[in-house]
Amino acid sequence: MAQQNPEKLEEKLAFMINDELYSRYVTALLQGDVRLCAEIVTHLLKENTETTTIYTELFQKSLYRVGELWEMNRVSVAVEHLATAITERMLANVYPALLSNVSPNGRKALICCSVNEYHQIGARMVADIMETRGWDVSFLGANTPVNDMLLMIQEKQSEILGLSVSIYFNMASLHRTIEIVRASFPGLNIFVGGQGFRWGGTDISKKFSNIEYVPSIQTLDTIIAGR
Amino acid sequence: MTADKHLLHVAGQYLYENAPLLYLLFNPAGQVVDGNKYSRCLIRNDLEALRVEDIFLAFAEPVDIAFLRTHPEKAEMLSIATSAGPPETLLCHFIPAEENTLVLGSIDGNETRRLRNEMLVLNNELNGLTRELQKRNHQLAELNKLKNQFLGMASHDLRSPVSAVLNYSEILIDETGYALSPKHLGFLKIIHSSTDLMRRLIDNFLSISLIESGRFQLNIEQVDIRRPVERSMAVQQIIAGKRRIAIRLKSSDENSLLQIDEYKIEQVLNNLISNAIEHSQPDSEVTVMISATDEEVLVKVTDSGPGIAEEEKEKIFSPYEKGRFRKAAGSRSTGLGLAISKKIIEAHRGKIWVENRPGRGAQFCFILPIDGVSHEETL
Repeated sequence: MAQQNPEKLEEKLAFMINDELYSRYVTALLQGDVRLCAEIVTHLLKENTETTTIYTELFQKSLYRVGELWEMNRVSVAVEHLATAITERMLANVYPALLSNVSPNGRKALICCSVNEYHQIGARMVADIMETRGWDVSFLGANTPVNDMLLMIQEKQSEILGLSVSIYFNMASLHRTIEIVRASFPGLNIFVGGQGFRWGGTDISKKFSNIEYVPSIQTLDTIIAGR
Repeated sequence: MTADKHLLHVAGQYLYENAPLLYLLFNPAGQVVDGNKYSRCLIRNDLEALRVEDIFLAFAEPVDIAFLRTHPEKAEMLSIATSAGPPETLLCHFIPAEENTLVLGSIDGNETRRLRNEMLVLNNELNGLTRELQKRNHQLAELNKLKNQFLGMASHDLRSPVSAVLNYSEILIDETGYALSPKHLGFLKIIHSSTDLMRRLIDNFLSISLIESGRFQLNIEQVDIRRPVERSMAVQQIIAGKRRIAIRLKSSDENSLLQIDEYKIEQVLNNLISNAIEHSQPDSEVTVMISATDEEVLVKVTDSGPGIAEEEKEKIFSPYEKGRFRKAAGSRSTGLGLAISKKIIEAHRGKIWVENRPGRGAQFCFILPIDGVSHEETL
């Protein structure tokens, strides 16, 4: 049997989430078809698609699309919530596969959403991606009380705190959270991100020290690789 | 038509055709005489066939339209049987319309919003917990893998020196025992019996680490079950004899040929028979029974010990669970024998269990299918 050209193989892997597959997934997501979504994800896992690719090219891209449709009043809040719930379910399908390929680097991070922020899926994806890079990540999820956050930073000796904001109106709450964390941990590296920053606030590093705005998962990857 | 009348007409038409509100008109006899599109969709199309008791679920007392229409301003919380799914709870007003009664109902929007928010929070929490659980499971699996590797390596490396101590202490007892004082001979026997226990422990650790690491293989052959049973009985007879315990075989004449790994099944029998001996009082009997059908072979090992407490029946097949094993003979248990036996029997697509006979002894049973497992399945 002829040996497969490695370049060709790479090309095949890169195009595994093609337009047709993505389109089928988005349609299933909007229709609330959990079974079909799970079938597509299982297929990708069987084909050894990189988990980061599944996260960014399927989950993130499709949720952004659902958000756009909602902003255009083409889908309801209920459909958006259903799509989020299905995506979280899919993350649970991928997560064990993601963990099986991890080489721990001994570094620790804490990822969560500040008070009143109930959209946790972006933060969850960031936490998972960091784990693929070997980080030991504690994920506290949505609406994390500041005191819990402080206790966890202390207990886990986290060297990075990641905070996600999906709704712009929660920006003030984020700033208050950062002020409190800064008072207790002046040297802690903090990065922030999320859809809330589409409407402003990306200049947050001018207001606080040691804070970085991370516009995308790809940028996050570059930042943590450089640390 | 005045502007006000026109507006009322349009609003009424909207209520009748498009609004997601319940609109039902009942006659004085409690029969539906009209309903809007939403009600027909929610309940059923031919509403006119229904009476008030067909529509509203009355758990405590029936819905009394005649009374409710006397308080039209009051919203009554009522549940409606729907055509496609669970009942729907609506806030309903009963409004007199001459001799008829108009029922207007809507979903409680505040409640829906509160529920949606609660579900979002709960779903977030559930997802967070699932992630944490998956992470912990992964960590435990990794630790278990490490434990098995360590157990396998340590047991393998310990086996040779421990075997040397066991064999040489036996030679010393046999060849020089007569020349030693009873006290020193006693010391030597303790060395020998302790080393024997140590080797059994090591063998069990090796077996369990192989089983748990998935490197457990069966060498399947066609064997008469009586062969490993008789061999195991002969080996155990020596220990049984010292405690004046008789081992009896009761076997039917049916064909007992089956596809098994003979030596692994013998390991199971050794475990069960030695346990039975160790839990039995001196001057008693241990029975091994074999019966066969066209499809399976059943083996039962019965002792006359104290039996097994109900709450320990499941636990005793888990690794390192000793439960019942305060043995009558005073010997120590590794807590692995039954766990290994269970894995071996299940690998043969069989089943092992214990029948609870507290105070009258225990009966360990296993069933093996005649056709067994193929070589391919065991790899």
